[in-house]
Amino acid sequence: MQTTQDKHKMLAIRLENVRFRWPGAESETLHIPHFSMSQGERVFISGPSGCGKSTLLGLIAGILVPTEGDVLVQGCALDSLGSAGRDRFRGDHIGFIFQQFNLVPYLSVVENVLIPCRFSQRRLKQAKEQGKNLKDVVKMLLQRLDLEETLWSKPVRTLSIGQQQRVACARALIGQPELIIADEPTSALDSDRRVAFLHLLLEECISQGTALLFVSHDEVLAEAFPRTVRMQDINKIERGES
Amino acid sequence: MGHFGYLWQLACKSAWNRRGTLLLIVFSIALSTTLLLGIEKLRSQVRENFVQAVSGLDLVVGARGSTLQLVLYAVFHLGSATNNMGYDQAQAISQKPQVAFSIPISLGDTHRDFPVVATNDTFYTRYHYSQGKSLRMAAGKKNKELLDVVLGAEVAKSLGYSLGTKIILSHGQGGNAQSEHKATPFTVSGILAPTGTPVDRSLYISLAAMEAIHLSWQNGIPQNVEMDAETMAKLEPRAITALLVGLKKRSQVFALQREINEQEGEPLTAVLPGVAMNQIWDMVNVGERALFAISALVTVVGLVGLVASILAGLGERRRELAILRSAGASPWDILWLMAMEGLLLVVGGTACGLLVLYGLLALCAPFLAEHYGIYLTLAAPGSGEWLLLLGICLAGFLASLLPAYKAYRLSLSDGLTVSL
Repeated sequence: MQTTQDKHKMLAIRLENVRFRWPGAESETLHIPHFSMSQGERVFISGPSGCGKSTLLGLIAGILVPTEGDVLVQGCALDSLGSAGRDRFRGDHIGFIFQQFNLVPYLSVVENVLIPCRFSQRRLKQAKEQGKNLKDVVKMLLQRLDLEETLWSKPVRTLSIGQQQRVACARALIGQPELIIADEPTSALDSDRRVAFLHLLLEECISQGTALLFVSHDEVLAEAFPRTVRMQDINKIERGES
Repeated sequence: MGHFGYLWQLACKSAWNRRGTLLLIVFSIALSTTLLLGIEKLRSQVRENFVQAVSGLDLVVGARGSTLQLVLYAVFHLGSATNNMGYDQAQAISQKPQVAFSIPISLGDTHRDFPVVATNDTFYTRYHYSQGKSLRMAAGKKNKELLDVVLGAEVAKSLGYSLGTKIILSHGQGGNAQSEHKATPFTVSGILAPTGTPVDRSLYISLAAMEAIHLSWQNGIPQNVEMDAETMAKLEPRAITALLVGLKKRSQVFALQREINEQEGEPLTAVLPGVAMNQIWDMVNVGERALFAISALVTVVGLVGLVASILAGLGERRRELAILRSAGASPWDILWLMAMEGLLLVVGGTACGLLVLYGLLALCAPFLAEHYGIYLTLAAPGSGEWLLLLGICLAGFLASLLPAYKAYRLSLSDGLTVSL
């Protein structure tokens, strides 16, 4: 692992000749000859639905295993870890923001933010190093994401979608994971809030030095990213019939 | 906080969040637990009641007839009357060298539906119940005067009698003013402390008194016979219902039994009460097992409800499970989370069931004692009951592995993307 890290100066993500076929499916869903992202890089991935975005994210998250090829996250080859190892690796190194319903309904705002620290010792340790105590770190994070203190004790289902997404954002950021994967995080928001949310997220990623893989079909948002990748360009699967 | 500790916390919070639905499941498991344990409790208590009443006796001797009927009638005052045995026969048995003590019993009269037992002083000194406990007076003393009566605890309590109360006994089963022993009112001289045996539901008079009140009766019709008290006190019965016998050495019981059963003269039956008890258990066994099977089935229905409700809730929880997965939870964590929920519900349900059971027992105990002579003790659950509780919990846990496995499979196939 050490040698791999040296050779590629530890890329945040590196895919080499990755092919993926769902079990029982006749044709491949994904064929990515090469894709990589550096540490702290912010990449916008666009593409219509059904172009393999979810599959790509599943591979990077270690939920799916490529039929062929290598997926390396933080220089670590995921298929060398085993499924339990991949789950732990995901908790340690990756933060997620989903499209909507990001929060566990029966946990408070603070508890929702702390979920990764409960599954990952590494995230817990790194979060504790960021402030006096864990609670303090969560509070600072929530304040930076414009979530007033009056909201923290409310049941999460009473929060607006925008507020929920910002809580999810705090959860993805806590404990300083090296990579954040945001899967259409703005599509449930109205247009002026989208830009505001995106800027908050980008600001935090830049200040923490976190790499951000932002998936959206909303091309307007791409302007805020130094690099945009079209899914169609990296996925070499022929889509003749559809 | 350990990893499992956090999963427990999640399981508890999640269950609490859906408490509306889950409370019904807890309720149904609680009810089935109450039923299962209640039937088991009632069964074991009834048996214990019976066993306790005869625990100090080695033989019950009476006129030849059904052994079961003899024990039931002589000791428990249940069932139909047996024939009498001669008092001289009883005395002959009392004199036998193996016999430590013998208690003559004469039955037949009642007072307000409680049986009246004529016996002698040996009863108060030598009758033992419940592994060697002796009778104790709660108030007053044993009958000294001819027309003194000693009450069992339950009789005194339910009829509200106290020392000095005058009572009239009824001939036979009573219920008819004609058949009352009006000429011979008895005075309550003592009240026995509760024993949890049929003793509590009986009235005790002397054998002489039993003779005296029947002297004046001819062919079931009261006659006027004048007799002075001194003569009456010396009256001896011609016949008694049964003789309860305790031996010096228990090992001699079979020899003496054979001796009595085979002796010449008036045909007698000597019964080991324990053997008669076993005959009763054999008879009621089928019924007991049927009851147990029914209550076990009710428990199964409760557990099916548990599985169904967890399965039904699974759909709306897929999103939440995907969030946990994204934060590093493994599919095994998801399986545990669901299994813990099942365990939580079934343990909560059985605990509630136990509480309901003991509440019901406390409420119903006086009623059961008064009307059925079943004495329930509010003892902590015995090992059999704990085993049943453990069995229910284990079954519930195993049953909840089904939805847990479903969740495990779902979290594998859903991954992080749940299409809703």
